[in-house]
Amino acid sequence: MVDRIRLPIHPDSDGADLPARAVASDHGHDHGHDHGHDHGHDHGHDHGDFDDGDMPSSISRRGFLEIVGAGLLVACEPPRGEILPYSRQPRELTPGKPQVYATSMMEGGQAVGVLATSWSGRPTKLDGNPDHPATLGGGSSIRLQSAIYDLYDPTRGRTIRHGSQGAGWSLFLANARGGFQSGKGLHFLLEPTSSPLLIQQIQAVRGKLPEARFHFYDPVAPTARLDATRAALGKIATPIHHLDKAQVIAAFDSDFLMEPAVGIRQARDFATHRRVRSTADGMSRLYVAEGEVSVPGAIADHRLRARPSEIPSLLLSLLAEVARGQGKLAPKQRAAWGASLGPLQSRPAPPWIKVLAGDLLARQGSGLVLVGPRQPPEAHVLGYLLNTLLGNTTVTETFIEPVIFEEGMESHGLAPLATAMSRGEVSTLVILGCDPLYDAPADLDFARLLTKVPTSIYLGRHENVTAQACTWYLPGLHFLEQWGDGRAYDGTLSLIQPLIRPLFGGHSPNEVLAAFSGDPAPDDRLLLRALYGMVPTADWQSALQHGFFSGSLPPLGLEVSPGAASKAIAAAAAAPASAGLEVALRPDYKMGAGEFGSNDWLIELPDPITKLSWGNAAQMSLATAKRLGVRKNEIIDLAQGGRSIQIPVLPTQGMADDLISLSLGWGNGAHPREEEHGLFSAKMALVGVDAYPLRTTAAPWFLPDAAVAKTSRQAFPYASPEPVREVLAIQQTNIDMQDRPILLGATLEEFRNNPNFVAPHNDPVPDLYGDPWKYTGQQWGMGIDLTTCIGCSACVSACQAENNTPTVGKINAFKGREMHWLRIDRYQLGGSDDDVRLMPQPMMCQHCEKAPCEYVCPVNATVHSPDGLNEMVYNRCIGTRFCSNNCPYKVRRFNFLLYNDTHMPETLKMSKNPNVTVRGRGVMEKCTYCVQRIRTAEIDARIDQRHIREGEVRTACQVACPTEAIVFGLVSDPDSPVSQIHGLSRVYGVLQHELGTEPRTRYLAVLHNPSPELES
Amino acid sequence: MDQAEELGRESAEYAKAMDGPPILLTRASEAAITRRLLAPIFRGGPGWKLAFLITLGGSTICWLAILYTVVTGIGTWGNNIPVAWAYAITNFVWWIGIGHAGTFISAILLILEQSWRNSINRFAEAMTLFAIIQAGIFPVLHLGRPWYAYWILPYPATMRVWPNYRSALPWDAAAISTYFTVSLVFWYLGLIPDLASARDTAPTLTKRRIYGIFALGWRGSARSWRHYQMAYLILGALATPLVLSVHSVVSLDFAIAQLPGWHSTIFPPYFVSGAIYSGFAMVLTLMIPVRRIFKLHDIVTVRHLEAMGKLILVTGSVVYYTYVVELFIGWYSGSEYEIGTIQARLFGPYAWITWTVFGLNFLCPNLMWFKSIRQGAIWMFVVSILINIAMWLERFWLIVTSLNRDFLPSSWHIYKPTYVDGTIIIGTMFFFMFLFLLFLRFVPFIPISETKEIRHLLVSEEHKRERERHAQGIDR
Amino acid sequence: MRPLFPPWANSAMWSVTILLLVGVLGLPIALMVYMRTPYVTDQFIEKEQPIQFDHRHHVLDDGIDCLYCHYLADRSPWAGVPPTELCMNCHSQIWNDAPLLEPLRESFFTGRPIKWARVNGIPDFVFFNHEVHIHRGVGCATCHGRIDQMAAVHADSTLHMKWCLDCHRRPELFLRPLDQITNMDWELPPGEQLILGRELKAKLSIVPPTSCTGCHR
Repeated sequence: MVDRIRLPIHPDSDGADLPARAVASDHGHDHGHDHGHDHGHDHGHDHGDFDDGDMPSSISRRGFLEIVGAGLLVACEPPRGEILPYSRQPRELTPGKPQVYATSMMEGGQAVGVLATSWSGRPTKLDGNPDHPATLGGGSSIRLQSAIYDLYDPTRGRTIRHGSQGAGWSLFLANARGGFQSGKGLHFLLEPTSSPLLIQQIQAVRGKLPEARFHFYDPVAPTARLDATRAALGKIATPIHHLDKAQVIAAFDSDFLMEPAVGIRQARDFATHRRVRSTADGMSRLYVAEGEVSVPGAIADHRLRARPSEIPSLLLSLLAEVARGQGKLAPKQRAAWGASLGPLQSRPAPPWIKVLAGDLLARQGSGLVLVGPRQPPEAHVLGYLLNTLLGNTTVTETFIEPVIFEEGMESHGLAPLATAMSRGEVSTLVILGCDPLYDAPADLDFARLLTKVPTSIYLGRHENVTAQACTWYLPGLHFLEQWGDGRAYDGTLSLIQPLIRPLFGGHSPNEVLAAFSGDPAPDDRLLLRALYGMVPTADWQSALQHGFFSGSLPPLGLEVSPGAASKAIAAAAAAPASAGLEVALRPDYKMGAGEFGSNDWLIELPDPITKLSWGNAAQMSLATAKRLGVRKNEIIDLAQGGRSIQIPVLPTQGMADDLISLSLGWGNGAHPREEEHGLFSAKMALVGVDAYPLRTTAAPWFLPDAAVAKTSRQAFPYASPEPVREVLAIQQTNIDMQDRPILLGATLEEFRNNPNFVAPHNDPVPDLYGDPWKYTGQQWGMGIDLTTCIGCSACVSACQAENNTPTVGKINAFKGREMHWLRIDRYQLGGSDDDVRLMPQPMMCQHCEKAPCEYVCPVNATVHSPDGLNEMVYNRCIGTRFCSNNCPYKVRRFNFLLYNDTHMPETLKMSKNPNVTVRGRGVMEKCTYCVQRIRTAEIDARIDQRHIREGEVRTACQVACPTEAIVFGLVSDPDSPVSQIHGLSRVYGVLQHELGTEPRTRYLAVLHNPSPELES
Repeated sequence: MDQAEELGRESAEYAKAMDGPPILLTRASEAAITRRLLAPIFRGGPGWKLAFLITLGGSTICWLAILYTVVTGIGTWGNNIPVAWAYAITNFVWWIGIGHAGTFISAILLILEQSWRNSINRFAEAMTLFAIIQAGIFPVLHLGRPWYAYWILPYPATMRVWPNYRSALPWDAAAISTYFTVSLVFWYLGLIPDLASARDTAPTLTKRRIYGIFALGWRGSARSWRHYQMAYLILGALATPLVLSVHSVVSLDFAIAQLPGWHSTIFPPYFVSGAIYSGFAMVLTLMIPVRRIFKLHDIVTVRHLEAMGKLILVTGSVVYYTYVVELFIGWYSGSEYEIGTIQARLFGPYAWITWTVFGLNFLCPNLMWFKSIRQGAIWMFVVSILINIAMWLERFWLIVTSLNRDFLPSSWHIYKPTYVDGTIIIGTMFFFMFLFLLFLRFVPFIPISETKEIRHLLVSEEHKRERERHAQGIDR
Repeated sequence: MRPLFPPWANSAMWSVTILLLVGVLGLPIALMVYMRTPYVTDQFIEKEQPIQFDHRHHVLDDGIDCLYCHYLADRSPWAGVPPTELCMNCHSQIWNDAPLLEPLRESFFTGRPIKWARVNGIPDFVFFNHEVHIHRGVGCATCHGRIDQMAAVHADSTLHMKWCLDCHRRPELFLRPLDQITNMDWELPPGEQLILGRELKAKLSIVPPTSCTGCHR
């Protein structure tokens, strides 16, 4: 990684300064500078590079060559292109060297720190900003890693539309400015925001048009949590959780490791007490009570299968148990609450809760009760109450002012807008970025309401269903294309700075709002500069350089009011346990609420738990599936309140019985797909099934008593009438480890009694041949801590972004041809059918010192390097696939078809990493330990005549891992972190003892810390 | 050698020829035999034309499918990771195996002086050539980038990179190309005298000229015959090791991998016997109809069926013996992975294939114990077909069941073939028949000179005995 | 009976046989030779450039150092062609109205790049790095030849992989002192070169990568 470079801002220079440069560099780079760019786009000769001026013709030319010679003709020719140097070279830029800028990305209106790597004006890689509180240490999430795809997404809207014909920005400005005297009938619909700049614009509009109304809508906003704070604390506040201080964590239906905006940080903090090195180290204990299998649930020490509707009563039982044990409570708490808790003591509690309560009481002040955002307010109140009682508030749980503008107030939510629309009071509706037609509660029937609005303006990156229903469409911007700001979950003020001029034109919400407040030529850069005008230039520069102004919001000293508590207790006690089948909706790990619906990387990424790609399914426990008499892939008809959806079944181990779980965000009509498969091109209208039709304002998350009907159709790829739509493309079809020593584990107890419990798998393997390779100089290796790995899959996405891994489409994914170099296996560890623990195991090329793949390759396309890498030479590979057959880990990937299509949209070509060859059809590929980074560091080292320093090379997956479970480095240096891991007693190599492959990637056997009482 | 010795040898061979059913029934004059055996190549018939067109169509479709695969990529097949090899390699091994009967007959039986081989060797050798041609398609076609297939050959490249001789594949290429060349030469050498007689009896000048060119000016002088037989014998000696080497090398493509189910030292003998087994089955499949169509019962006699039946019995027994050994060794290894593969094979998703293979390959050879079946053309035909099917399935079973469930359960994946897979394997059969029809139409498919040689042997011997009996009669 | 073939058939037959044999043996060899010719490698082929740029004049007459224009070469993987504005440093003063330089001025004022024809092209899966070579004692002329004597630049070497390997395996035959990198007529008699090369190799501890990922990633 090169030093971060500040993007120079010249207050005096004209607004066009930066964009002009961004594009100039782009241009200059695209067309030459030797073949630097071609590296990005060409894997050699049977694939199009576009190193000459006019791209379309060059593509077609190459395309032609590819059809004829199929590479044979051009195989031995040097690329005869043109070199197009800059006319004026940007000052801060050295062609051929990357630049890294700090910016921010918004998740649910909150900022997440981002470092963006850019090659001559082409951002190609995003990582977490190590200094930013939301991404401390530089970890990231699947969404952060995949967000770069959204920038280059070829399906983005490109032109302003008015009615049915194209229009210009100026025409829009004219319309926007005229006509609203007091702003009556003018309504704005925005995503919740924490951006001071945007807030300023809103205030400006309100000032100018006092009767204009603003609405904020996010389908998955944690509204209940805020209502609870209003009720319990007397003030709307945002709870902040400090898992680095928590020794006992009780998560009730809470997916705290994957939550948008905070998940990365919480995962990092959570890992601090799971990182066991010696037998002396302690380890936190994680209890999870949930209906679906969540990322924390899969790895929990204790897991209770309970339907979401049962969670409040469980919390109540926990409270009762605490009340019984109130002798152990701090005197203050006992005095304050003893009386009101009295009546509860009669309430019985299951053993699981008893044990949990015991642990929490024993660890007062270092425990934490987490309640998921989907739970009703009373559940949250109980959560706050428990934390208060147990002295965790102000330690592991604090409250701050909400960072989201007007959060929890009436301007949030669609209801007021809907009433206004139905009354016909809305003359102009300006929608900035949401997609209400897709994700509004079904009972509002937003589509019908919108027809009552004469003028509707939509700003968004995609011309989606909402946009199509609006009279105006304005292309939106990606966060890498705009100026802006926002607050992180803890209030840290973060800045957004563009790395590239808008690829498809487009404008930011700020500019649109500014237009309504009468700005003649709105430009978000100037707006931002004006907003921070008072900031001294030096501070401003350093803020831009680091991506944020350091300083978070102070915690508020808030107490739970007894009144609210008793109300909540009553409510929870009164809540009827729903009989019959229950349907639970949840935001999808990959699609979120639908905002990532066009992101192929995320669509193809296997779901962290089910390994399902290219769609969603009706998940249910094996028992429930048996009871309903449905099987995998079978399409069922789910009906609720007269609306129904048809969705394939996916029995999922670990789920609560009588519960069907659907993930939102799929089946967004805005992103049709067509998949080429040989002679046939299988049309896919939608990816996945849209679950929003089941969602109502009253019941946004949990639908009691849903009706399930079987349909005659089976989801089968080739035979069925609509071919590939309902196929469940599951990347891992078998999670049963077959009692093979692949993912080794023990409890903390066992580990302390026998630190060398993996020894049997490490004793030396008899060998006829001795060492085939001489290893000289620095040696590379990797260590993976299976205990801290939470299986979030951020590494998989990071690898895809770094190594130009293509997506293969649904049919190929179904056939088992996915190209991810790094996959995350899930194995069931102990337990019966449904009561299982699903442990993740990252699996990529193990870089065996005695690699089975090497000796079978007939053309020496995969060989060993002196520093211990198993090298894969694409341009030598002829594609016998013998290496894959002989690879015991099956981590090699083969380009069965031309997945990196020669005719891929130019923008996708721009997204490629210029330091990694783009592989074409018919060659094998696999994890290289990010060899491009190693060799780059090596070259720097050679130039300075030194050795590579430890930590100078970090692989993409290592950087992305929020829990630092992946450690890469020099095994030749005894002091390096990786050597230390390799030296631990828990280290083993997968299949090493069986095959003697001597893998360079070693695993730390997984540890769990179950409570002795629940062990039996 | 002098007369007496000569006669001695003849009578010995006569005995050999006469033990069991006779090799040759006809006693027609040599000229008649020549005329009769050359007749088919001078006039085709509507039947032949029809068959020719059908196979031509089939081959065209096959080649279109191949072209489509090369242009689009082998993603058109069902292959995936972990099952990276499937139909293509199955077909390759199957065809190569079929080729083996030819070499076995021409080389080994020649060395062993099995005179019964004479009337069918041409036939079997042609089959070998065509089978190798089919087989040769697949190793190249199944590559991801077939246009770089030549990188597998050792040649001084501008990259200064050489093939990896630790891998089995370069040896594969070498073995198969050698095999093809030797078989071709062998076949052609055997043809020369018959081409000469075709030249001499051809009805039209052009045909006389064409056959004349290929006859290489053969005159049939005693001197040329002596050289000829010398050369033929030497070639036979050269070809003999190939019978064993080629399929052993092919078997290494699997044996050198450490995949459970492949990683086995028993493969070379197992593959070779399996090859000869399936080869003879194919010979029967082709020979029995031809024998019927061209009414050759007096030249290709029951004796030939018998002999091949026995060979099938032997090689087939070796094959199913190896099945048993494989299962035993797998269990005996104690490796959970080996055992896992065995379980998957016996009870896994592909169990039905396993049981079909085991069943047929046990049944078919053991039917050969019965004389009635050995000698019944229909029976033998049916059995041969079954064997062909069983042996194809066996190769598929061997390859796919090992791959689809290997070490890490997480990577297990099922394999489903596509229509392209199917088209190509069926297509190659058409192409094979197409070549074979050309062979039947334009080349004397029963070795005339050798048939006449046998006839001469038999006739002269019978006359001798006749004379002797006559003399004794006179004495009395 | 009249013979099947005329007398010349024999000679025809023999010649055909011989031709076949020669063909079978000769064709591969011919191909291998062809691959090494300029027809394929572009070696020694002068390219038509939008501006008739004469290195002889700039290097010899003006004595401009390589790194003045190709300033990226020692700080980036790419040697790069200088941006228009760099040419204009001089040519805004001298020859600023020469019709020959019209494309230059046109590029400067419109901001559109000049389309130079690439002379040294290597396949796109090869990651060559100028920076490291220049800092490790490989002179410009070693690969690019006597640019200072070229009216129009041509590729001086085949850029075949084996050509790269020749140096990567025995660098001492080509190394030169770091202060002589851009010196066009640096020349040593082979013997001395070997001695000096060994010295430099030891001094700079030069171990060129010969494993695949050194260049293919």
